[in-house]
Amino acid sequence: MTAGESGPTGLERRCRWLLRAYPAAYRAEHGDELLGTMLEAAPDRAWPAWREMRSVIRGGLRARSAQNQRLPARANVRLAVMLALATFLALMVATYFRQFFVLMSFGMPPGWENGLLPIWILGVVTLVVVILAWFARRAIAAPVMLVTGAAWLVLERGVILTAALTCLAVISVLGQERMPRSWLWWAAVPPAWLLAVPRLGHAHLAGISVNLLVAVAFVLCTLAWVVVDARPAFALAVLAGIIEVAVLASSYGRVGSYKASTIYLAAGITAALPLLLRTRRRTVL
Amino acid sequence: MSKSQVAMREPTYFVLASLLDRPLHGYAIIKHAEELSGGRVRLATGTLYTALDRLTGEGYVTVIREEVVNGRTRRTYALTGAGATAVRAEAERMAAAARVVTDPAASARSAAGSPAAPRARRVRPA
Repeated sequence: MTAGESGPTGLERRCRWLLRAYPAAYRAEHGDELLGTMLEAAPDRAWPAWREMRSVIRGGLRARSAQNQRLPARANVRLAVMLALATFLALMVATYFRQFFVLMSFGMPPGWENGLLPIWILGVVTLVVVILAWFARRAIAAPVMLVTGAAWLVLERGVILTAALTCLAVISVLGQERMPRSWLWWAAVPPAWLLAVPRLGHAHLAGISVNLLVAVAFVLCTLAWVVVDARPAFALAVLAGIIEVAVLASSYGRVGSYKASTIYLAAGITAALPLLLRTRRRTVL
Repeated sequence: MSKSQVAMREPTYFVLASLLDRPLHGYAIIKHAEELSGGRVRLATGTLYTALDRLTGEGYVTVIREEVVNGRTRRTYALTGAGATAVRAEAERMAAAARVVTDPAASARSAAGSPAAPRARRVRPA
């Protein structure tokens, strides 16, 4: 290759990036071949044609769907609930850490770090446990979850965290399937954050309640998501349910969040559950 | 009902038709399908490989050669016996459907002389 051939190299890079729509196993087998055809179809171009991009994304989603079709509905439900519990745990730990930073910004009394260090460590351990739910063998992950849950109960009287970790341990040993590891799951982070942030109360934007706008945006996102894969949408609905239970169970309930979360919960479950149970094809992540 | 009586989508039909004369690799199928259809069927890469995956799975198409071109694997696809039968059956079906309009009298005669043809049904999109 001679110097200065930046055009074709750029096109190739963009095509390779687009081909990530296909699952890794499929790319290993056919990626080169698809890339060759895409490059032949787009000579002297910097970007592949719009219809090429659309077809590759659609083909990739279809290949992912074909790969996942063997999972029975109950496995999909189980994975979605595990995802919800893991996200909830991560959010709880994030909330703890945020509280520490708020306290530190006000200036802490001397010696505070001695009292809080175990909680810091436990928070980090919990995050590791959440990752273990994806990557470790169940025989290792489940006992670690139970021990961590017990530690929260002893150290912090963290009944909610203990309950969530116990549920995660029990559900993780109920089935054989591994958690999906697709990077596309990261798309669940913004909606989960929407669920977790304290509500903006009675703020209004152009005369419309911000709570209502957030709820509508969330419902639209969920519906769009269900078209591709019902599991994350269902997981978010379950997450909304867990947050509601946690809020009711704790004394620091966020007044005003109840109604909005109920909308998420109802919309998510109504939209996602039938698809999750009936359509195995709609699991592309 | 045999597979040959199932209505095909147009891209699938032209992928099979383009392989009737000789085996071809991916981009050559796209070009040949475009020629055969008078420029009407322009297959995009993703659509082509979705169709090829399905047709290979159904035994209509098979990979006969793998070579490395420009450092990348290139596969050459050929029509199987079942694939040739299927595309010919589809051509017959469409020709019969066309006669209903172009030659109604002959179409009515042949329909009276033979048992009712099974109704074609649409299958998964290709």
